[in-house]
Amino acid sequence: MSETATAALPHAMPRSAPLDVEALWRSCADDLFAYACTVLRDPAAAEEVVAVTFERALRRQGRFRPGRGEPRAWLFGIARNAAVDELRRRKKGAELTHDPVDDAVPDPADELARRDEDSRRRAAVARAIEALPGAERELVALKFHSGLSNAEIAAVLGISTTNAGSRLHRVLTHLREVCRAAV
Amino acid sequence: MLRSDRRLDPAIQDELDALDAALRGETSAEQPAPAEADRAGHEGDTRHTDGLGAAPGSLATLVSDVRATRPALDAEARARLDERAAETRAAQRAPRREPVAPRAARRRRVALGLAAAVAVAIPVGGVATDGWFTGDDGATYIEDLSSGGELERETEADQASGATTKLDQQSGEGDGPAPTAAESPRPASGASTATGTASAAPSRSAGTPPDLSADRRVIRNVRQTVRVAPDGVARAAARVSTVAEDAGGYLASSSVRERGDRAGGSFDVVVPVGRLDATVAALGRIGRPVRLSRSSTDVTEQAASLQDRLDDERADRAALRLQLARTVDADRRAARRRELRLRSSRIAGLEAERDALRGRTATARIALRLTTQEDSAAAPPPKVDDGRWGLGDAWRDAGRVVEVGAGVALVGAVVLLPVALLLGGGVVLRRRAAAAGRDRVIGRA
Repeated sequence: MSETATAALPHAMPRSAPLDVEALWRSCADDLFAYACTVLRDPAAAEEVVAVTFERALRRQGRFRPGRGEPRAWLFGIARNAAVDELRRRKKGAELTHDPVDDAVPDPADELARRDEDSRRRAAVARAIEALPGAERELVALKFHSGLSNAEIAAVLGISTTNAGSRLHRVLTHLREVCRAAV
Repeated sequence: MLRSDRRLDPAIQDELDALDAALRGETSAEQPAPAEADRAGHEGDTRHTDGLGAAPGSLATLVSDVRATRPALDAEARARLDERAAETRAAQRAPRREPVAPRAARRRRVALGLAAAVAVAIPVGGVATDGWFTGDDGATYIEDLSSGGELERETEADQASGATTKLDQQSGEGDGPAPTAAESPRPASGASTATGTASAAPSRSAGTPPDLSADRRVIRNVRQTVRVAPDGVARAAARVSTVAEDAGGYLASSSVRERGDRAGGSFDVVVPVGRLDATVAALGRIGRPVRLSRSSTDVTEQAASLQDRLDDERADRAALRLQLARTVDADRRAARRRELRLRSSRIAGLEAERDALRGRTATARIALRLTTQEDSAAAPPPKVDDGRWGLGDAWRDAGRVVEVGAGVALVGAVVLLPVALLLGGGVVLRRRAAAAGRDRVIGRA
């Protein structure tokens, strides 16, 4: 996780300074991967999305306007478009699916569930996230995995901050209920 | 796309704040969320008192659990990404390119500017080539510009009398005498100094045009208004008579009111056409010229037709006389004589008509009005053009250009505004559709 990078970024990149896309991308690479992997459910595709995000960000760095939002939100917006392109490409070509379940390999969730209550709970949360609709899973990725603020999430999704908070609360409530049921 | 919605419910906001605190690892997240506490209280669910949900640390636990599912980049993937980033960076650096968007934006701005310039230039150029400024065909406009007053010239085809030319000129106090044809910068404006066979407006085209003015017969009339002092009407009336006589003309009619609120007079002055302009100038000096209107009617065709008819009648009469000389029978001779008298009568009528026409083209009539009224001089101040393009002309031309430009802009706006609105609406709808499409793709993932 890159909490440190997330917290340090606004100071490292003052708005008046020209945008250092590479530094921004490197500081967000883990978060971008987590986001893309959560949305796409495919690590290889997520890796591709992270790389494409850098290419596009480098190409479009002239379009970035500091007044319109944070650099992270801008970068995640690019990543989101890249993920959408990836999903559309999959829809046209191969099956849209994550890695098939290999019966020979024990499911990590089951493995975790066998350990203790915490493990069971985490497995339940993992399954719940996996079962979430794409839009809500994306919210989880942006909030929990990438550490974006509500305003940044709103900028990435193109919605209002209130709407983002409302959606986030709905997901949070759902996850809490799952946790409760798992205990 | 962003909208300023209403504020979140305070309880929800508190929970979101608590979530943010938990994500930051702060202890405030250990406090139960109010909404959660309320719900736990209502449900009486004892399971949650020391576990998740309303229990202390539940949000932190949830955050921890969700973070445990976070996909992580492994070392190999990170190395591959670094490699690709380096390649991308190298490819970007090789031919150092300016950012695409600003250049595209500049090109769009330049294209828009050029389009706007062309949009303005085309109608303005069209107006200019139509003669508004070149004067190819736009004598009316040029006259109006140069004089600034009411100055009109109209030409109409008259079946009987040929072309009629009219020119009004209005000037105010302090103008001095109205310009004579000789003084006028535009002697071709219908106030020619020629005699009865006066020259019409010369052609402006280059080359050696045929002399269309040769043997033209033109009737000229002038309407002139001169303002005089209320106590100077009698003196001015006497002066009018003197001027007419000095010019070899006469007063065909006159009406003078020497005193009263409407003191003034009207005169019908007839002068030889060759002295017309000098007379007009002299009459203008009686007082202060207020209005001068000239009109001319080309009666050349009428005169030619009259002459032809006269020649025909004379030939017929000569033939009749010959027949009369050869006729022996008394009754027939009487008949011939009656016919001869009739012909002679017709010839006399035609000759009288021809002489009258000659008289009308050899002389000019000036309808002079002497006035003492102030309002008659309420016209704009001196607008007599000296023929040179000066500061005033530049000012008026500039004003006209601005006026035309504003008109073009207004018309353009009226035409372009709905188009721009439609295009803008289309762009907004397209963007919303694209965003909705992205949301759908993500939602189905």
